[in-house]
Formats: sequence, C-alpha cells, structure tokens
Amino acid sequence: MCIVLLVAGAVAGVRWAQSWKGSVTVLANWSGGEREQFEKAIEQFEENHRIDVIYQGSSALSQVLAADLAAGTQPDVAVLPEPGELMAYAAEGRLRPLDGLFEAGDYDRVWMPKVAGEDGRKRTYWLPVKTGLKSMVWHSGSLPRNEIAEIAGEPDTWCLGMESGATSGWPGTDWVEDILLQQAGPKVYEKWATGDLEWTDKRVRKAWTTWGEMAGAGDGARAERVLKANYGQDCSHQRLEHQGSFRDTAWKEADGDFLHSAEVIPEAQQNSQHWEVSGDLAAMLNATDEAKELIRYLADPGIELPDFTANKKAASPDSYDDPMKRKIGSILRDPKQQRCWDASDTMPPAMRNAFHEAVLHFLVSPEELDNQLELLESLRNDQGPAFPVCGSG
Amino acid sequence: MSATRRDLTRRLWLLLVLGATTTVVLFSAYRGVHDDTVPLVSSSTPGILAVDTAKNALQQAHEAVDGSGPQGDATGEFHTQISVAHQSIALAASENVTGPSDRHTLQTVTGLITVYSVWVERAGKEPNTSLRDAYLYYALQGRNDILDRLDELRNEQLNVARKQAAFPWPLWLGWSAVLVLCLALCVALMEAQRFARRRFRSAVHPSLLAATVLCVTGVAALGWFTLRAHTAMADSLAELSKTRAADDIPEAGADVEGYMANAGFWASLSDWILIGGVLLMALTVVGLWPRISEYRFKVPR
Repeated sequence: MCIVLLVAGAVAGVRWAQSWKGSVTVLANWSGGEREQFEKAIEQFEENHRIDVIYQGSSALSQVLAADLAAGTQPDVAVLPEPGELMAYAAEGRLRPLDGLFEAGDYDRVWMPKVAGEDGRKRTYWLPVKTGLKSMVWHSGSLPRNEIAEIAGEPDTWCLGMESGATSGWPGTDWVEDILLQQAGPKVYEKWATGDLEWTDKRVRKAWTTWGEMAGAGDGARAERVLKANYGQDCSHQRLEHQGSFRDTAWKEADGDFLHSAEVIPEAQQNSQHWEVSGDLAAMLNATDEAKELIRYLADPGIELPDFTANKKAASPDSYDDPMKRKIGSILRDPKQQRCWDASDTMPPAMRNAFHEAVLHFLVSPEELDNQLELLESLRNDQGPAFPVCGSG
Repeated sequence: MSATRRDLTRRLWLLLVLGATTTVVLFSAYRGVHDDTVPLVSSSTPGILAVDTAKNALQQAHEAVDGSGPQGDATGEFHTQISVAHQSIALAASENVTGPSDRHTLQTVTGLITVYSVWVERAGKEPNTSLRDAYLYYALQGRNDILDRLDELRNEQLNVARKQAAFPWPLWLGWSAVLVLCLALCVALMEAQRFARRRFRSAVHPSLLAATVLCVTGVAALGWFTLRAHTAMADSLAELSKTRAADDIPEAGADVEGYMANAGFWASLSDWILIGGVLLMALTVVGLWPRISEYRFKVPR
C-alpha cells in the first residue's frame, strides 16, 4: 500500500511539475517557415517558464486584431509589422506600456521610439522582435553588375507577384517606396511617409511611372499574371527579384547574391546608403504576468530569434556562419547606413490599404495614375507618424 | 469474546470493507464513462456541426459569386451564406470544444471571413475584368485558407469527441475491478448468510438477502446503462466523423440527439451509487449487528 501511495505521489508530483503554469496568446502574421522559426525560438521559453504560448498566424492580421479588440478578446501579445497601426492603438489606449520590462537603450530610436499613449505621455509600446532589410535586388550571383543594370530595364526580367492574402499589393508599394527613396532621398521620403508631401507631387509621380516602366504596367497578359502570382513564388534564377532579406534562403540555393536597388533604379542618387527596412514589432495588449515574461524573453539579447535582431547587445553580425546573413546583418547594424521604415507600414491603416489597391490598379491601367494619386491625396492625413521614419546609429 | 461473536464481527468488517470498496470503485468507473456523455452531446456535437455548417456556407457563398458573371451576385445569396457562416462560427466559439486555441482560431477565421467578403465585394464593383478576376482570385485564396483552418479545427474537435467516446485501459481496469469486487461481495454475503443460518437456525436473513440482491441488480443495471452509453457514443462519433452536405447537417444533429437521448438520465444515476452503497452497508449492519449484540455478555463455553 505504501509503495502504491509513493508511486501515486511521485506521478502526481511529476505531472504537477510538467503542467503549464499559465498561457499567453500571440497573434502574428507568420506562417510556414517563419512560424516554425518563431515556434523553435519560443520552445525554450515554454520549457523554462512552463507558460504555454498559443500562437495564431494570419496574413489578415490587421482585420483579425481589429475584430478581436472590438469584441474585447484581444490576444495578450500581437506582433505587427506596422508601427503606424501600433501608434494608433497606443493613442487609443489599447496597448500596455513596456517601460521597465527591458533595457530600452539596447535599441536604436528608429526601431523603438517612445510614442504617445491615451494620456499623451510618451512611452515605449513595442519591441522589435526581428528586422528585415529591403531595397535589395536579388540575382543569381554569376551576373556582372553592369549586365544586371542593363537587363533591369526589361519588365520580363523581374519576378513579380502581388498576391498576399489580405495585404495583396504590398510588393508593389515596396517598389514605389524604394524608388522614391533612391531617387529623391530620405528627407523627401520621410516627408511623404509622414503625410507632409502630396501624393500628386512630381517626385512621387515619377516614382510610380519609373516602376510602371520597369514592371511593364499596362501590358494586359503580364499584368494579369503578376496580379495573381504569389509574392513568394519560385523565381527563375536567370531573373531578378526586388524583395527583402526574407528571400535569402530561396536565393542562397542558387548561390544568389543581392545588390542595392539604387544600382538598377533609373535616376537613383549615386552611392546610395539609404535602405528601406521592416520590422516585426511585439506589442502587449493584456498586461498579464505571462505576457510580460514573454516580452522580457524576446528582449533578451542572448536569445536566438529568427532573422535579424535590432538589439545592440546581441551578438555581432560577424558571428553569423552564413556569409549572406553576415552581409545583411552588417547593413542593418552599420551606423553609416541610413535606414528608413517601409513607408506604407508607417501610414494609417486606411491610407496603407488604399495604397495597396492603387498599386493593383496601376499595374492594369497606368494611364489612370493621376486619378489614383488624387484619390490617395484625398485620404492624406498630415498627422502622420510622430516618430522618426528614417535614422541611423 | 466468544468465537461466534468474533466470527460475526470479522464477517461484518469484511462485508463493510468490501461494500465500501465496491461502491467507490463502481462510482469512479461509472463516472469515468458517463461524465463524458453530456459534454459529447451538448458541446462537442454542436461545435463540430457548427464548423461543418460554416464550411458549407463558405463554399456556397463562393459558388454564388463565381457563377454570377461580371455584374456580381444579384440574388443576395452571397450575403445570406456569409451571415450563416458568421453565425455558425459564433456558435462553434460558444461551445469552446478544444479550449483557448479553439477560440483563437475562430476569432482569426472571423477576421478572415471579413477580408474574404471585402475582396468579393470589390470584385463586384470592379469594371476592369483583369482586376475583377484578380480580386476573386484573392478571395478564393482567402476562402481556401479559411477552409484549411476550419478543417484543422474540426480534426481537433473530433479528437476531443474521440477521447470522450473512448473506453481506455483505466476504464477496463475499473470495470474489471467492479466485477471482481461485486463477485467477492456477493460470495461474502452468501457465506455470511449460510454461517448465520447454520449458527442461529433461521431460514434466511432478509437484510443480508436484500443486500445481495441490491449488489447484483445494481451492478448489472449500471453495467447495462454503461454499455448502452458507450454504444451510443460510438454511434454518435461515427456520425460526426462523416463529411456531409449542408442539408444533411440537421439530420446528423438529430441522429446524435437520438442516440444520446438518455445520456442525462444515465449520468444522473452516479449519485445513486453512493446512496446504494450506504444502503447496502446499512443492510449488512442490520443483518449482523443484532446477532453480535446477543453475544456481548455471553462467556465462551
């Protein structure tokens, strides 16, 4: 009897020790490989803290989050790539401040600015979980630079796909933004992103028309193909692709490499050191102990998170085994480079969605560009982001 | 203490220990099966059927816009089906079959249905054929994503239902123990009856006989109800495992309800096991205690 009781006690003890001590719900837009990478990174957290991380991934992140907030069933932590949207939620008092959970000085201001909350006080409301580099043109690696610049003028050279679920069109907005950044420079770009520059401005219009020529806008069959192609489609290695650092795995298989988009964009400023960047930002919507614990974990410079961290205390990019990752990581951390947020990510959601739609229209009917720009201009709100869109350091 | 008093006391204790053990084991084994009958019929079944309804509604919604031509769906069928899908998702969420992850999946699906509707509506308003086709294509991709998520959720819900309808080894062990204990208790009761009859020359001890009858009929009846509940749960599970058209969903719900019509009654009997156990032990005491008392002051010869 004693043995039975002892065994039962031991089993109960083990079960108690193994059971979850709480849970935290996380909403993000990662799926497939990105989701697997995050789950792998989070395994250690679950094991150490015995906190179950319940993950939901969706490309319709904004819509799902808006519905959750309206119903009062928001996730504990949401990871969004749009600081503009997060800033709006912070101003509405939907986000919980992260001050005190980690060392804010570990991140550059461009990645983690203080923004106004419901009471107008400026606090930290998001933490960059991972960052990505844009303004990149991927190629097979065997093509000489001058040849790349030459073939870049041919629309058929480009791998281009607009389909991305709820956010279909964003690869096109990336193109227009990057062209504006490389042609007009960071000051004009920042003015435009913050709503201080008209959409009908000739520099903005030029960015659109430049992209139209490069992408072959108005070519019926081609436009139809591009509209329906997924942004992550397989790309023939004989072609070029204007995509971010998340495509490194696909291009690495073909010994691919990238060059700065300014090298292929017509009339781009010479020797550009301006890069468009993106980031996945974790915000806390319910200040539970478990959510705070997860935020602390994600801010720990010793934790291996997917892609590239913005934490200055994390291991130097030189420590990456993969030369491609070393190269991208160095650009993201190099104080001499100017990094500018993906402008559409900093815009209010309504403006961003209209921009996505305008890009799709432009691909089919470039002759209606002026109407599209006027429509976008009518939505412009000069109360743009109250945080730096571009920065270095 | 006289030998007879000692023998009687020993038998009384044995019967009380056996009675109490049988009661507790029977109670646990019975609850092990019947505790899952009510959640299966009141939560898992409507949850699974609600997901089926939502899937069918989304398929019908897309058929309505896909075959409608450039002018879009003029019949209102698309909006009707989207409304059905939303209501079904809300019902599935309220059943909360698989816990928090279930709820979050359904919240995400609600957002995705909104995105899907937006693409379809944009397509309906778009005069340019290329753009219209592209918007419908985005909508279709979104709908496929929703259906994949609902399929995954349904599989998880079905796993919960499978666990509820299962008869795992602890239950086999429990019911085997019930049979062994019941047999031992009946044998002990009959032996006590025989001992008392021989020693006190009485034909039969009614209370011991009543305890024996209570034990046999009680275990037999509860075993029969358990067998019926298990069969009903297996039939329900088979019904839920099928994929069916929208028109067949109410029929499936009615079938499960029919199989499990007595689930509430069966489950409610568990409290009577404890009452029956106390009654059985009381009958044993009533049967033997007066004889033990008779020997209280007698000196062994």
